Amino acid sequence: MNKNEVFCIVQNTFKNIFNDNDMVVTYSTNSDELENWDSLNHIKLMSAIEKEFNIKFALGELIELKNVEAIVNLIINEKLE
Amino acid sequence: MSSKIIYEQQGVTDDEAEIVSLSKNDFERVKVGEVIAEVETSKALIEVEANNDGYIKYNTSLNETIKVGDLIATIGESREELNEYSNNSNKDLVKENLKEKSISAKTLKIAKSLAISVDTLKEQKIYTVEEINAYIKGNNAEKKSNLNENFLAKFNKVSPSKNKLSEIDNLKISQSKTLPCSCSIIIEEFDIESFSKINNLYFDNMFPVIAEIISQELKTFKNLNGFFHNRKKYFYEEINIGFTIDTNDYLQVPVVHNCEKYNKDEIQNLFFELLKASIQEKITLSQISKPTFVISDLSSVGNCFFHTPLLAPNTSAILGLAIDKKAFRLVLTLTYDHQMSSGKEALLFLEAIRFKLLNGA
Repeated sequence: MNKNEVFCIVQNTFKNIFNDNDMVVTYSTNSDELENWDSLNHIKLMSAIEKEFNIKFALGELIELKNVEAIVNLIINEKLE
Repeated sequence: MSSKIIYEQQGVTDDEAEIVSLSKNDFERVKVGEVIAEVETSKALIEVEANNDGYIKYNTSLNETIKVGDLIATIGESREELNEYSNNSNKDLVKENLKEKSISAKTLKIAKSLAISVDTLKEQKIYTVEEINAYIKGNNAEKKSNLNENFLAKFNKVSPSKNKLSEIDNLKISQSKTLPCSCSIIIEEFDIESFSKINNLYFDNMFPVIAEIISQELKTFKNLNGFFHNRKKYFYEEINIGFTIDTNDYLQVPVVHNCEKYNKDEIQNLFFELLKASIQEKITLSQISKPTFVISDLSSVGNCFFHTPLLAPNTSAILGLAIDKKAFRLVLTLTYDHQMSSGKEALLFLEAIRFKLLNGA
């Protein structure tokens, strides 16, 4: 799976969790920018991503991921090797 | 005349409970409203009160499991009456069934005035004034209930989930046992983003800092970490801080147990672990058990001015947080049990939190 494929799946997961199909998700999208990206939605998001890619995030990793690029990079570099 | 105390349905699912305490001895004097026993269902501890003045005789024993409809105790006007009752109850029942009963003159008079036939009286086994009064009352209640049903039939109805009904039952029981009262303070010029950066908080969630401050303060404000029961104050030794999660169906309250032993960074890790377990539906019973103090934060939903949260079972206080990011405002609302604490103490507690938030914990 290449970076763009991972990004597309992450993008769709955001749309599902935030219940907004028109939502624009880019690599630079971050938690400061998205009003609804709070602790509850973050855990929902990370849990959905874990399920989607069949991976597990450590608690430390999970709470540090605050933008889309960091999420995609972690999946590509450490979780899908 | 003796009166009976029957165990009634307490929750949606529980039809049995365990007797965990009997506060009187057999043949001891009791007053109406006095607690005579405590029963424990799967969800709550329930006080059973005397329904009459008199002398008590238990029909159950400690640690016995009872079912809905079981007789817990009998209250009689005198010890002799109770003795007679317990010695002869079986004999009396047999006699009562064999005895041919006659309708009293007064009962007949009431029946006539209400156009109730003698056949109906016999059919319904109505012989005394008390019985005909109960029959009239029952008929009226039935008519009223039919009216209600006809009225309600016009509406669409939805049954809440079992979990929601259980939440409602628990909250109803805890509100009925307490004297809930609320007190708020407003912290102006509160910038949550800067606050989060300084305190290394993730996603602007204030729970770790607030929980750390509260754990320290509850050592002083002991009245806010306990519960009121049977005219006495009970204090928890441990500080277990719960936080509310709205699952879109019902409220779940995961708990950071012994919160006073952790610093805010450790509390933050525990918070996220519990949140993850809740979202993934992997939370265990022990992780949602025994909160002694609860924090409810509506900030993530929107710019709420304030809300007055309801007390959780066996707690004496709950703190509501409301952050308005745009107005740079934080509102802290404490709902407390007035049996345990007072408005003055609640306000001093909130002021202590304000001081530590603004000056560092």
